[in-house]
Amino acid sequence: MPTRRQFLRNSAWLAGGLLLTPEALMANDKTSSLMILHTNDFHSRLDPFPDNHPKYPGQGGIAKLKTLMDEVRSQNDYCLLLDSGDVFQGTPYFNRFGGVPEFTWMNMAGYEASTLGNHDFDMGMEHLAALIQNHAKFPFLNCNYNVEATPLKDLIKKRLVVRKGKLKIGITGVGVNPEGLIPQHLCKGLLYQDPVAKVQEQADILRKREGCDVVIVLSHLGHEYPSNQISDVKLAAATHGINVILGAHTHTFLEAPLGLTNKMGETVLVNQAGWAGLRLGRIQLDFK
Amino acid sequence: MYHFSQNCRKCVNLYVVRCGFLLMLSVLALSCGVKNLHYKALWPLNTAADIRPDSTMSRFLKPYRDTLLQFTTTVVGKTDTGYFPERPSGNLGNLCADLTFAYADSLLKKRIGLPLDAAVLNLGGLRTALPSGSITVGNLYEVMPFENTEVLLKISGGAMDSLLRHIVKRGGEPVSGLKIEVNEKQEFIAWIGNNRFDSRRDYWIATSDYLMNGGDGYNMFRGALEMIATEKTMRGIFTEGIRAETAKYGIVRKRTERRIVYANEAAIPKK
Repeated sequence: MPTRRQFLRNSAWLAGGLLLTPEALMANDKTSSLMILHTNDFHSRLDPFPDNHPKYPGQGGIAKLKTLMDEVRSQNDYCLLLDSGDVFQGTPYFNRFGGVPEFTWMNMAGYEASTLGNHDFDMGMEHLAALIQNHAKFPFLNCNYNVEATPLKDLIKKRLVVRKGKLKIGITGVGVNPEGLIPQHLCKGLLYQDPVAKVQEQADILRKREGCDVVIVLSHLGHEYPSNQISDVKLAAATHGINVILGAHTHTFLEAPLGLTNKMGETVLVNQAGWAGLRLGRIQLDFK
Repeated sequence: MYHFSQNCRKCVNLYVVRCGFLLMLSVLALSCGVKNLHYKALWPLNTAADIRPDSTMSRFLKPYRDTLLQFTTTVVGKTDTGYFPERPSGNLGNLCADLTFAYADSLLKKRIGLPLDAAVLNLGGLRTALPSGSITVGNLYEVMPFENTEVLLKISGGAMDSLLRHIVKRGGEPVSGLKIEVNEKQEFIAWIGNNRFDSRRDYWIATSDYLMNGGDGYNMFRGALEMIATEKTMRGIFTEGIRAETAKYGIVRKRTERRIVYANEAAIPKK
């Protein structure tokens, strides 16, 4: 997407020039600012990549991620730490310990919510249900998987409202179509529903009924596809009332969040932080 | 205004610093339902090799890591180049497909006295690159973390045609015993072994149970005429194959050849 990136870069230069002075002079009122930190497609990457890894030597790992998180937290009064799914599968940690150290790490790091990625089903729904019940201190959010007829019943929440200072933040989650992706025996009884309609439904509830100031979607749909498959970019354009979409699944590295336009002509930020804990995504929301 | 520590500053490359710096300064001051909401698009922090590790996390992970190290550090073979998962074809895909082929071929000859025709895998199943140097059990877990097993399927010529089309549509997949040339119009010619593809005959194909069950859109396998389950994991087959090849040749062979070729590289479908 060179065009969009180019556009963003150009507007950034322009906006940077225009806003440099007031922004630099303005005292940072921390109480009116929210820092969103996020990861996706962690894939059991608790350790850094090996030093002889041809692509990411020595990069990643929870010990370094925690250092970065602590640093950001020490400089921001209000932080929100979120994940967009596929926490599991990718290193022997998962094969040997079945996801316990991954969830323990997320508890220790203070994750406030995650969503279901396709690989989170890799050891079956009974296994996942037991893990969520016994080891996760944070909720799993998804609004387009009907799991009533599965072991995940009552363990997946459609939405979450978090308060940070005066701010009320609404969060929901959305999952990718499991057809041809998750082996059928691993997701038996799960009903996939239209992401756009279901996300819109939750965004409306969070805005109107819950009175949220900000609405965030944890998405495992994937950033963008050449086909007409639903993606974060398409979801952003087809909905309204959403401020931020935190993506996953396509392991997309973005230089910075994309500012896209929603159905009502408003801005939605869409971001994805690569994969494997190689990046810690950041979005700052200021209320003035 | 938020700013980076020295550590973080070092780790982001110059390009990102240049773009990111202005992005950070720029407030995408556009409201979205909420009054007076301003977005600051910040570049992501990089967990680079030189970031200081948090000691609490290191302590938490140690007992788990020590348990893993008891088996992941076992060296199974040797390479003198990195192996990368690439489309339309790449050396990691070639290697894994060859090892899948070799195991199935010997099994099929033993069972029914016939040679295997081809092996097909999904590139999405090969999760990361294989390093140059000593190859450990841990490296192979990272390339193939799944517990998928190898299966042998006899499919009709019609299903084989669908399989070839699907591979071409996906921009190439790891294959062995098979060569595909795609022309400017996305039409293709395929050779299986040394012969042109013949839609009137059946083919024996080795693959994973994930694809057999329709994973990544491989629905043509669902109509297979016969099936032989090996009950061996793909990872186990790669591990044993790399071990055997290193024992025989001292090193894993390179396999840089292109088995799937598109005349117009720009028109390769993006998966």
